[in-house]
Amino acid sequence: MAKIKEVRTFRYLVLGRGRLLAVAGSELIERAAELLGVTDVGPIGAVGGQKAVRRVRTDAGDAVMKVIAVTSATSASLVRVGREVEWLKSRSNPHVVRVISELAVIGDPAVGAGWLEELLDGVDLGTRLGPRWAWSETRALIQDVASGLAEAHRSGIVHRDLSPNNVRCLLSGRFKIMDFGFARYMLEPGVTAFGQQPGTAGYLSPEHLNAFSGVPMPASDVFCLGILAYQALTGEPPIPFLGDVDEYIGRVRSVEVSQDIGNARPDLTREQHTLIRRMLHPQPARRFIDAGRLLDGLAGMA
Amino acid sequence: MTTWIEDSPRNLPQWISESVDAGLAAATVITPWATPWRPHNVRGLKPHAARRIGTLRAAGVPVFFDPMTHVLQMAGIGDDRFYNEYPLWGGNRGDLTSPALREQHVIQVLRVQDALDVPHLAPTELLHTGLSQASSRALDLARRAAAADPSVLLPVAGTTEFWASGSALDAHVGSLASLQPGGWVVTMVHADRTMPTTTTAEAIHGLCRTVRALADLGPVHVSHGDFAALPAVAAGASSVGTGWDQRQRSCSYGDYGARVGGSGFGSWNQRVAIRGLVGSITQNEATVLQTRDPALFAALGGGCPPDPRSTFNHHLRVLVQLVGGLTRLPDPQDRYEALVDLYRLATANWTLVGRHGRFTSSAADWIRPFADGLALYGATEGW
Repeated sequence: MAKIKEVRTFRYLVLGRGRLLAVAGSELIERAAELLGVTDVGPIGAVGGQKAVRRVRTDAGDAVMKVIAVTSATSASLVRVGREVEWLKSRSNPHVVRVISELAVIGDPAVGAGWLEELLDGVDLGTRLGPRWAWSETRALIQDVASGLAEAHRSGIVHRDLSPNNVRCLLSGRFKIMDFGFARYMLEPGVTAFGQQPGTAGYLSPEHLNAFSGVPMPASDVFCLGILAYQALTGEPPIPFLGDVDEYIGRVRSVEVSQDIGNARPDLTREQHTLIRRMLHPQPARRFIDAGRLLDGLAGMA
Repeated sequence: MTTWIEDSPRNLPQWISESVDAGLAAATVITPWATPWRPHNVRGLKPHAARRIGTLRAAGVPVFFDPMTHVLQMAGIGDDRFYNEYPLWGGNRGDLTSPALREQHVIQVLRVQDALDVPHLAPTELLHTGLSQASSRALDLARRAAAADPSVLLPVAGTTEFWASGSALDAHVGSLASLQPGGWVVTMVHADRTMPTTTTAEAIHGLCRTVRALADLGPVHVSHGDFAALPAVAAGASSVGTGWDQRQRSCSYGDYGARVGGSGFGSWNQRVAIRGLVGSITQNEATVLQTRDPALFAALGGGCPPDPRSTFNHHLRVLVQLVGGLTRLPDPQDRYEALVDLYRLATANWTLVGRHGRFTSSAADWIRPFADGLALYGATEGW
């Protein structure tokens, strides 16, 4: 992994109880671009969080640079992040965003890290959710995302944060997974506020609330993909976040689905209902145990 | 596959091979807690593991070696006369605190199994709740064993509190399931040495949920299960552990305590299994019942076996009938409903039996917690 000297100046967000959250501000972005040998063109999406997403120019054309500010990374997590970046860089799965650089760790001890990804066309899944999708399109979503996840699961990698903003709808009509969980090792744990594991409100599995041997596993990614499929079919996530963290955690822990898929979409077949219910089963071992098994289950369906 | 004969310090290979020949048992298990590792040439002492396995295998009996590492975490263990002979540890016995020590233990367990030419069955740690530092160590042991041999059998061993720990149990089991091993060996461990075992509806519910999930991924054996394992069989388990001694029919701390005044493990086999009660009564109780109401006694499938050997054979036959009555039903809901009916009938039968005298146990002991746990499982499944 490439490294440069410690960056002394970077911004903070002030969180509750006086905690500070590092922001991937201009200094870190500049340093990351320098390390990665690219020219920063400008932001993609929202600005000002712990992660910056930038369009950059490289010798081979435009790409995406992601920069995260780090305040609590341990050497172990950096090693793990580096390993997963290497894994993503070595893959060319059509349903997983391609990482095209090494992980650049900024500072010693680390204050940030950055890497480059291919620039994707299309839009984030989040912008497409709302209207009810047909089964055929939902099936394509499940198929494509599961295909990307299956390769990761075979390598012992769990995404951990599958959400509408981490899946891209390409102009071709296919889907691609972005933001594998590697970045989450380095994010400030308190940012999530929902428990022990990183994740996105409305898109958590019960395992996101656990510690020890119960943390997110391949079946947790299946659950989160089940959430996306349910939302595509019904317009709403099955366990929506309504603003109260404790209340939401209670419903996630007991997998309290607001409306059974059979009632929400009576036009679907029994087999289709069963697939969605199984993806959202409260017991991880009762779901498809990983994305490969999900693909097997999907294979026999129309 | 219906029963496996669990290990006992009593050396009765003939009983095991006859059970297998009769189709009443599918395999047997030996453990370092009941079988020596080294040859001793002491008259009356059980032969060492390699010789014993040779004898059993020559008689056509499939054999497993369960390291039963989870016994080491039980309070009050003291009968380790054989255990300490086995080369199962690189560091101090029972020390699983570091990844290196866990790796070493897994490797040495698998080496012992290779030396004995038996299938790989991983070690695990006794758990008291679904998620804890101990569960992380148990998962790590399982990961290392599955990495060494993807077809390894993985154990899950916990107290009633562990099995009753709800979503924490489910999460731990989910992590184990993601390893996709060749099969499963589950054990409910009891702090008290009683028969029938003392348990709770919540623990039985957890056992059923777990078995239901794991049985979709591979065969599940309920170690030391006997009659108490019937709800797990209804949930999909394919075999249960049993034997002629109490320590083969349940797994409790007291079975591994220091021996006081001799072996002390021979009394249980005098109880008589009664199919219609889904339980057992003492020989005196059986005699009284047979005398006072021979028609009822016969209808319940009772018998008065004259000696320990026939008592064991009778027990095994009753257990196989009960287990087989469930496993022949391929549909999980059918299995569940069959056991609900069986328990309902047995509860009524215990009432009938109670009219003929005061019995040392009742439906409250043999049926209620199991039936209540089964009902919770059925409700979870929407049945």
